[in-house]
Amino acid sequence: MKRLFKSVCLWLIASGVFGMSSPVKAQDPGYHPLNHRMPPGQAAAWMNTIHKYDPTWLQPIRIELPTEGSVSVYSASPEPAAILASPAQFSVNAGHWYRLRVADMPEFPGMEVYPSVEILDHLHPPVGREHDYPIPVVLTADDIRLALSGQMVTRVIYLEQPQLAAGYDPLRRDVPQSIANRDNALQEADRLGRPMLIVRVGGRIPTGPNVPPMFFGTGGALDFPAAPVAAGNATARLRLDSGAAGVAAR
Amino acid sequence: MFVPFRLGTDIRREAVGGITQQHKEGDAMRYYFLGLGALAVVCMGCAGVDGQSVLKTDEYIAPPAAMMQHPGPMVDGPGPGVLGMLAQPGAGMMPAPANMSTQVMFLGPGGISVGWVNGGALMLDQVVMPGRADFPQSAVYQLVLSSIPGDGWQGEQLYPTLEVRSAHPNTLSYLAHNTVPVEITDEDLEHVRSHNMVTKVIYLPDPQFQARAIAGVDTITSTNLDPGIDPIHQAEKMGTIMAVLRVGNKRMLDQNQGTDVNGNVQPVNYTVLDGDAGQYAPPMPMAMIPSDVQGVPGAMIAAGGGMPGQPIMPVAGMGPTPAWGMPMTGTPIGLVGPPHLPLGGPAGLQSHTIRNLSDNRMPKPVDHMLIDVEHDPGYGIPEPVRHIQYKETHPVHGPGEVAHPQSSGPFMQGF
Repeated sequence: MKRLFKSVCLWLIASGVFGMSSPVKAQDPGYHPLNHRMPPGQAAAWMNTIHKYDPTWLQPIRIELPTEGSVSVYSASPEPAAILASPAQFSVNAGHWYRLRVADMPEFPGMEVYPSVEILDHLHPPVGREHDYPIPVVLTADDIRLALSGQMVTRVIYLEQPQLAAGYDPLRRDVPQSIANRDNALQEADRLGRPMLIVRVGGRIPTGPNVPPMFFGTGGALDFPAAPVAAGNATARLRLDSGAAGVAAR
Repeated sequence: MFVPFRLGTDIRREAVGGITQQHKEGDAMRYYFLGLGALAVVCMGCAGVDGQSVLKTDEYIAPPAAMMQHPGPMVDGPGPGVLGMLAQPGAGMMPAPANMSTQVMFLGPGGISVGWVNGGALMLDQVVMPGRADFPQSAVYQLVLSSIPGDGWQGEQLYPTLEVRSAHPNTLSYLAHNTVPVEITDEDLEHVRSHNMVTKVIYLPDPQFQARAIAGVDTITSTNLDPGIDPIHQAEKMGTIMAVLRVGNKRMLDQNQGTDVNGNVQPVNYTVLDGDAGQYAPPMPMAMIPSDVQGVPGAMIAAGGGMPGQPIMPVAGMGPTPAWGMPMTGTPIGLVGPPHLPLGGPAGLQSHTIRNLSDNRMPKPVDHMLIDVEHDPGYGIPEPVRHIQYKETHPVHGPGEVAHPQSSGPFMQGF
C-alpha cells in the first residue's frame, strides 16, 4: 500500500510537471507576424511573395467620400495619374500600395488629406464582370475629421466569411467595427474573413518639391475604366482609431 | 488531503509495530510532504505567476521590427560582398521607406514665426504657427522662433534645436501619413524665461502604452519630470522617439561667438532672409545623428560598396569607404563593435568577443511536413452504377385477342 501511495504521488508530480510543457491549445489564436502598424507596403509585399499575384490582373476598387469630392490617384510619382470624382473607381495591382489625395469636399472646405491604400489580396469575380465588383473604400466624415485633427485612422477592409457575414449591408453600417489601438487589426480581420485592403488616413500632406517618389506608393499599375460604377459587394470594414478617446473594441 | 497521511501511518503501525514513535513521525512527515507536493504541482499545473505557463512554451516572440523587414524573419541576402549593392537590406522584396523626411506640425502658440538655419543663411519667418514643415531625418536643426506672443517677449527670439530621428519600422507607417506635433506651451516659455532648459521628446508609444494619447503620439517634457530623470530615456522605454525639441535662452547671434559647443567654426554673420518677403529655403541640418541607427543594422559589406567588377576606393572617407576610425566590426545582434583603426595612437585592439546570451528558442527546420486536410462534412456522393438489368416483356396475343379500334381507320391487310 505504501508503494502504491508513493507511485501515485510520483505519477501526479510527473504529470503536473510535464503538463506545463503542453499548454492548452484550444484558445491558441495562432501566430500573426503581420499587423497594421507595419510600414506601408510590407504586408502587401509578404502577400505578393506568398500568392505570386499576376501583375497583369488589376483589382477594381472604389473610393467613396461622405458626399462629394475629388480623388487623385498617385503611383510612385508626384504627378497624379488621374483625378476622379467621388465615387472614384479604378483598378490597382495586388501587392502594392497607392497614395490618394482627397479634396474638394463640401464638408471640409479647403482641406485635403492624403490617405494610402495597400492592396493585400484581390477578389475572384466572374470573367468579364470585374468592374461590377470593386472593393469599396468608404471614407467617412468622421475619418477625415480625425485625420485633419492630427489623428490617424487605419482601416482593414476584409471579405467576410459567409458563416460570419452579417445579414445586412456591411458597407452601410452606421457604426463601423472598431478595435483598441493595442490590438492587431489585421489579425481581427483575418479572423472575420480575408483581409483585402489596408487604408490609412492621416494629416500629413506633401510639401515642397523634395518629397520622395516613394511617398506616393510603390509604383503598381493603374487602370481607369470608363464603365459606370456598380453597387458594392459584400465586404466589411474594420476601423482603427489611433488613440481616439472613447473608441473601444466592439 | 490528509487521507494519504493517515493511511500511511496506519499501515506502518500495523506492519512494523516495533519501530519507535520517532521513526513513525518521520515517515509520516515524509509522506505528508510528498503528498502535499504532488497536490501542489497538480493544482498549479500550467499556471505560472503571470497566468502563463512556467516554461512559456505557448508564447512566440517576434524578432525586432527592423529584422522583420528583411526577406524573411532573420533571413537576409546572399551575404556581405556577394552582390554588392544588391545585398543591401530592403532591395528586391521589401519596400523602401516611404519617407525620408518627417513632417513637423508646429502647433503653437499661434502667431509664432518659425525659421531655421540653411547653411550660412538665417531663414526667418518660414512657417507661422500653426504650420508644418518637412525636415529630413536623422539630423539636428537650428530653429529660430520669433514674434513670440506674451508680455516680455516683444523683439525676443528663441533658438531651439530640433532633433529629427530617422524613421523606425515602428514609426514608418505613422510618419508616412501623419505629422509630428510640436507644441510650445506658455509654461515652457516661462521655464525658458527662468533660465531653465526645456526638452520635449515626441515619441510614438508602443501598442501596450497607447490608450488615450493624442494622435497616437505622446510628448514627455523634461520640466514635468523629477530631477535627474532623462526624458529621452523615459520615452525610449515606452515607445519610439520621432523628434526632440530643446529650448533654452541662449542667443545664437552673439557677436563674439566664433565656435559652437562642439568647437566647430560658426559663421560670424548670417545672411538673413525673410519668408515674409517671399524668401524660402528648406532647413539644412546643423549636425547629423551618427548613432541614430535603425535597430539591427543590415548586412555589412566589408570590402566596400562597389559593384562586382568595379574597383574599390581604398582611401578612407572617400566614396563608400568609411572614414578613418569608423567602427566596422558588425555583430550578429545589432551592436556596433569596437573600431578597427587607431584613433591617434597605436592600434591596441587585437580581438574582441561578444557572447550572445539570449535565451532564444529557435526550432529546428522541418524536414518532412505532414498536412492533414478535412472537409466537414465530407463529400457525399451515391455509389456509381455498377449493374443495370434491363428487361422487356412483350405480350403475345393470339388471333382475335386484339381488337382494332374503329378510329384508327380502315384495316389494310398486308401493311
